[in-house]
Amino acid sequence: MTDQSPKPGWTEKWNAKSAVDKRLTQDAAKKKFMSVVLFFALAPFIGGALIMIGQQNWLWIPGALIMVVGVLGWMIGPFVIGGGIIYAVFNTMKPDAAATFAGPAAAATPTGIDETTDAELAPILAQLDTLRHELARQRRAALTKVMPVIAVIVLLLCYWIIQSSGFNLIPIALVLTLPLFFGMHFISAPFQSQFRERFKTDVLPSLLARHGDWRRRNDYSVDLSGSAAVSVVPTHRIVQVDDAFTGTHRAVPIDIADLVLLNPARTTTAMEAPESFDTNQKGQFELTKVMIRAPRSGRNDARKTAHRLLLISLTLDRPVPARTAVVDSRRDKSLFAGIDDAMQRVELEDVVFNSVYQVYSTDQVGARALLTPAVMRRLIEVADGKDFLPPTLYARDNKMLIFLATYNERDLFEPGTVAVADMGSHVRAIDRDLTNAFAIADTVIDMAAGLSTRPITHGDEARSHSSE
Amino acid sequence: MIVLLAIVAAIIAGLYFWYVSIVRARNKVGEALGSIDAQLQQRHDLIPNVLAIARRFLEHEKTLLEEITSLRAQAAPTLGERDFARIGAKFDTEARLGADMSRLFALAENYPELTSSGPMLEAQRAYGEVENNIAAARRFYNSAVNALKNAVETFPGPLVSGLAGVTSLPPFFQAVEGAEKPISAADHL
Repeated sequence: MTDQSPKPGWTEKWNAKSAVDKRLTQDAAKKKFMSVVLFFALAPFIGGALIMIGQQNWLWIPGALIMVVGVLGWMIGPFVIGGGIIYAVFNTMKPDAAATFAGPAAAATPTGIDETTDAELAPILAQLDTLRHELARQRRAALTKVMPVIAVIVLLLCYWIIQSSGFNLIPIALVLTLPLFFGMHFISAPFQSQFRERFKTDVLPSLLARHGDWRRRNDYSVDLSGSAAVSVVPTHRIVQVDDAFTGTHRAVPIDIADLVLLNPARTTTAMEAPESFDTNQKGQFELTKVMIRAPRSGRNDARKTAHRLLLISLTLDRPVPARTAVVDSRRDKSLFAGIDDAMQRVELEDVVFNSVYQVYSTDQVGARALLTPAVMRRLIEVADGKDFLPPTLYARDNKMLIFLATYNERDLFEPGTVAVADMGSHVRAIDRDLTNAFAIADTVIDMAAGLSTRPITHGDEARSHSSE
Repeated sequence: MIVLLAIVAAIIAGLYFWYVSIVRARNKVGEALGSIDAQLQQRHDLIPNVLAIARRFLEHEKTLLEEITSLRAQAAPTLGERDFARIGAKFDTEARLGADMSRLFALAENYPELTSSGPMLEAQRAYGEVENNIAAARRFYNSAVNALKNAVETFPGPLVSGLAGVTSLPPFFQAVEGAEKPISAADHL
């Protein structure tokens, strides 16, 4: 019997990839795109050089072809880019597809919902759609008032350029497209900002409420120098907190924060101070010292200046048996500081686990008490997540820090653009990300539940124990 | 002549580095055994308390209680044993002791008064934590033994293992026979 099911489309194939595969595909696509842009940019020069070299031989033929392709690219390129920008501008000014929006009554069946949507998401989507529709209407009104004025100014500028210096292609293309692009951007920005703020204040807590009791925090700060010292996170100098929430999940106090780690400048000076973590009476983490740690020499050659991570910080009711770091074995080592000298490599039995992760700890037995075979299996399953790269962990004292990055380092709590009518898929994506993040938190909570409340002793300490 | 000397020097250097790696692996096994002994010591320390609590309710299980006491007395002197040839016997004794303690806790389930008492609950919790730590220490031990075996059994390991003080290899810690089989609920109901 032949398989009658339809072949998966590109979207289905993309969604089926793991986060690591998605990142590799994205990197390959970026390289190809840059290669094409570079080819078109350099083609006229390469073609011209080949023509000059090939005056006495056949090289002028490919040279001529390359030059023609390059010149066509230079002529058509600005219009293609400009046309794309103009199309995007007019597309965003169109009324929504659901132009029959009639207020709260219709919000019960908001746009973007299909039959398979979780029923619990329906009121959240309704709330979001009401908010988005109002802001989109205001944005359209603003664009309708201002963009025609900008268009008139642009046309006058083009006329002036043609009159003064003739039909010069590139300046005309720039004048036609850039004012429209920036005009749309700056007019839309306040509405997008308002939409983002209202989403995070009103809608996101509803999504988080599906996983426990949460509240948003505007005063959250965190010191990750300890984590950076053991290669759990990339080296950085500044930690920016984009969004932060505090709550409990399975009775464990948890902080969730969307962080951006910045590495803006290289420095040769360093101020180091011992780490200290203070907890208030509720067991929540509070920053007590601001750390500035210079990276080791030769390891500050970060090609990237910003890294976006999701931090899940758990406060346990017992200390972990050993300071332990679980890091991605395939990390780009040029972005990381290396491993603390006090930590030793822990080789675990699971071959698959060892291929995905590397483990460093101050105690071999303590690390194995933390990373039981069941926990290793769960971490491997999580490492095969569709959007999240393998999580990294840092366990110290009574804290467990989990760091998650998506394959494209996107902002996890961004609501999308106010102009896009279909919020359903976006909200479902955020809900899915949160579900995956809490699944990882569950793994860590189960890991902590099996920990001993007593410290792990070793040979010398054991001999001093008295026995009956 | 110089080339010959260089080759000989390279061979000697290679043998020396291999000797060092065996010594390190042997010491790692020693470290792992120390970690196991520390957890076993904690277990031995807990057993008298558990027996004292359980004795009130399990007086008719004298055989089991006496066997546990006997095994503990037999196992205690072996803590600190570093002779690889005798470690197997030590593990056997500890395995039997662990099995008897598991039986004791299983029998205690038949006495709700016993299992609901605070001291017994605390003793069970503490014993469970120690067993988890013993399991972690055993995994470390097996990893260290594996590294030592690889160093000794891979050429030129057999040439230098005697010099490094490794005349016999320690056994892996193995699960008791039958532990790998799936448990059938029908056998216990």
